[in-house]
Amino acid sequence: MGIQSLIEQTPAWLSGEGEYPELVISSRARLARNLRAFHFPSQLDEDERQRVLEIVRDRIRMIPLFQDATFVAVRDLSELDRQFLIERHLMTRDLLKYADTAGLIYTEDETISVLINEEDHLRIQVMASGLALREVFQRVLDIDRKLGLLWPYAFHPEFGYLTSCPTNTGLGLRLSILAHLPGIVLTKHVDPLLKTLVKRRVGIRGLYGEGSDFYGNIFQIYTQETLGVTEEELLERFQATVDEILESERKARKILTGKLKDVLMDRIERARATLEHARLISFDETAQLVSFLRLAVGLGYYLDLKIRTLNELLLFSQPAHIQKLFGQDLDPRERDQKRASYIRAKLQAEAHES
Amino acid sequence: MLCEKCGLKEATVKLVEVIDGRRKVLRLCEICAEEVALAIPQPLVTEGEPTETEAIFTPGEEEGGVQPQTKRIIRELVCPSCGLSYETFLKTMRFGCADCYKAFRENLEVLFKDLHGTATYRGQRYRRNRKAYRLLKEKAKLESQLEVFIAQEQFEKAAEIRDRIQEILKELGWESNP
Ligand SMILES: [Zn+2]
Ligand SMILES: [Zn+2]
Repeated sequence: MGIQSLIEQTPAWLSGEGEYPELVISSRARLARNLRAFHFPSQLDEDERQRVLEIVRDRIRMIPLFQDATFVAVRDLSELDRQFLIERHLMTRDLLKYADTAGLIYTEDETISVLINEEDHLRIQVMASGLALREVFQRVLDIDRKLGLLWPYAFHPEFGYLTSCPTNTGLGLRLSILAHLPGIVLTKHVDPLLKTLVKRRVGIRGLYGEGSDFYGNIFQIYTQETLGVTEEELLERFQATVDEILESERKARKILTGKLKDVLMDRIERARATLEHARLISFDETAQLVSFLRLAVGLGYYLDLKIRTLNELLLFSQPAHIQKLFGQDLDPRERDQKRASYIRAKLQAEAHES
Repeated sequence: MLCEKCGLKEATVKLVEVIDGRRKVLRLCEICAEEVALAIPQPLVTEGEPTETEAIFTPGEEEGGVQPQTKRIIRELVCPSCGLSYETFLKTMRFGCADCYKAFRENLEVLFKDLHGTATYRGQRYRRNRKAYRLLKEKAKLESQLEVFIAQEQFEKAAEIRDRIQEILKELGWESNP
């Protein structure tokens, strides 16, 4: 599945399937791993990094799961394609640090991707739609067992898996969810949430990583422990924390649909009207408005709208996606115009269907 | 990396010689480092105080050429494999290679307790299964042979190879989950 054809599909992890997709957009597990035979990427020269890239590219095909996966060398990617793959969560901005010797491999449904020569030699990630932590956890560890046959990993009996950053040392495992929490935001419960998460050693940030705004009330919530816990304990604790967060989101929604129902309905109807009729719209505004539609669907209103459609609206409204959809370099104003017409068409098609 | 003085042993120490604010860096083995340090009458600053570097570059010293000559040596911990110094590690918070963990080991307990509340690893044990890797290599070879036989329409031989591939998947325990 080449990059050009990706634009024609919706990644499986945004399908709107799985548990509570109106609250949890997707779940993810990622591992940081290094090859024993090489220094970490930051201490390698270009030739050695190239060597790591080739070893991984060639050997990973021995695993049936990756036989038909797509390999991409970052240096062959245009600026637009790089941005596009970042928006699609198939690669990270950090992969551009050693762009000339970095690569990525992804499966056709986009649920699995392996980044080569990011901060570590390997970043292995598995994603799934909705709340599916145990599924992504098991899949990533299964892939890890297989990749660990292809080359010796850097592992120390006392410290576990050795990684470039000491925050990953040990399990090298991070579990995360993309959660949609408009209730907590609208009832002003974000600060207590942040305080609870700090105590649990759980991190939180916006859709686009460190320091980014909470676009569309979407939060990345992720584990930070890699020492002192087993894989299974990490999963169970995180699952419990996520359950609690979702419970407070549900409580907040009860408040919104109680006394404040007319205010909420007003915001929701205005959001839908704007998306259906706007002629120019930014990504920020799209994310904010789509959040109200997602909330509405979660509350049982708007039965004609599918979560999958809302996921698609968010994904394809991002700047590089809009440009890939319309096949050209667009300036910001043209993008706003194309975005608005894409959204109008999408919502109209959905209304027709139902 | 080998010692810059004797060229025989691994360099495990980075000596920074500072003469009138100019830095000269030497990567040495333990023995040569001792020798060089002893040859200089100034007190030896040990690895626990790497920030001494900063104190040496006081503006007074750099601007005024009239001050008496200062000469001191700062001893830093260095990873013998990748050459990363502990000082640099503290700045970037990134290890350079797997051996850095051994080289900086004595300081890591505190660091990990700070970051994770503990320094004890409790996850799965990793040991590479070489036998499974050999099976995978054999499988890859069989698969390319299979293509040839199919192209030549030698279906009996192709079937034999397919059976062997199935056996390998069974041995790996991957039949149901490739
Ligand atoms: Zn020496
Ligand atoms: Zn090192």
